[in-house]
Amino acid sequence: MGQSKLNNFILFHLFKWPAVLALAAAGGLLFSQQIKEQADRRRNLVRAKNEVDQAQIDKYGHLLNPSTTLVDFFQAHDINAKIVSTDPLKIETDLSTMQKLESFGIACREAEFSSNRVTATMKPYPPKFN
Amino acid sequence: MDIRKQSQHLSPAQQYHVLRMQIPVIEFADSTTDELVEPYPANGKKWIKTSKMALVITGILAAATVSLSFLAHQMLSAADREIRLGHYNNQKAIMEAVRQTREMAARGIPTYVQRNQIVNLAAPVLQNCPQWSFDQGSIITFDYTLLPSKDPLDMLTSLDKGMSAAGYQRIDQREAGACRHIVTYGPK
Repeated sequence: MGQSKLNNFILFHLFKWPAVLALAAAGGLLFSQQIKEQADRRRNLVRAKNEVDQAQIDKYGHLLNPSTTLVDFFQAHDINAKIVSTDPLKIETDLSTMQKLESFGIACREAEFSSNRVTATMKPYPPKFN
Repeated sequence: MDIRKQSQHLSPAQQYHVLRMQIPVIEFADSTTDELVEPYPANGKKWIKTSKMALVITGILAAATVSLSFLAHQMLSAADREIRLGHYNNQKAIMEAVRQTREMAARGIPTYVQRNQIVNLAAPVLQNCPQWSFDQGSIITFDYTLLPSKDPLDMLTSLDKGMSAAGYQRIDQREAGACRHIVTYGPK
């Protein structure tokens, strides 16, 4: 009985620091695992961010919004165009504005140009995609 | 101080207590005299060796895990720095931008835009026409009146080139009066 207590006492003092270090190692392992998981998530986010085509979003992002109207778009982008009729949607503008509209993905079905004015019948806006 | 003299005036319980205080080794072992043995354990040397080895191994492990934590933290910081750069600097905004980019690709918006750039594609020709019109259905028909100074063949070549970039090829071409041309394109 006495021998056992003495042994335990000696063993405790001999192995207390290894035990503390083992606990620290286990804690460190868990901690590094947690940080690594977080870092992996962030790196995936960075990879996803690199996938973003900013220019495309700036130019054609409006086409994804089903509730937007051509008038909203004209106002938002300060487009100098006059809506002549709504059904079918017809606008009147100049050639450079027409080109600008096309560069934003706003398409026309028919267009006529005379006296420096373009009269265009527009395709549905926003367009319906499959 | 004479303990024996002092202890004579004490009760048996107090005497026992005083004696206990005088023999801490026996008390520590909680043993009777005949059970006392040499306090140094027989395999003590082995324990010390094992303890030292355990100290080294756990020390290395602790150092390794601390290094791993540091490395992971560096990776996290680098990723954070990249996220903070640029237009989208938080997770929500990035995920929304990624969603939009993917949705645009899935809906075929880039192709739609490319195939609907008729005025831009034909601009080199249309800019030299006082009058023009076009009609875009499954086929595209241009009806344009060129300035007399312009070469119709050159203009037609320019128009072909532009329309070809959007995936169209010329189907028909005819003259419909002085300087007036009607050209039809269809998908390649």
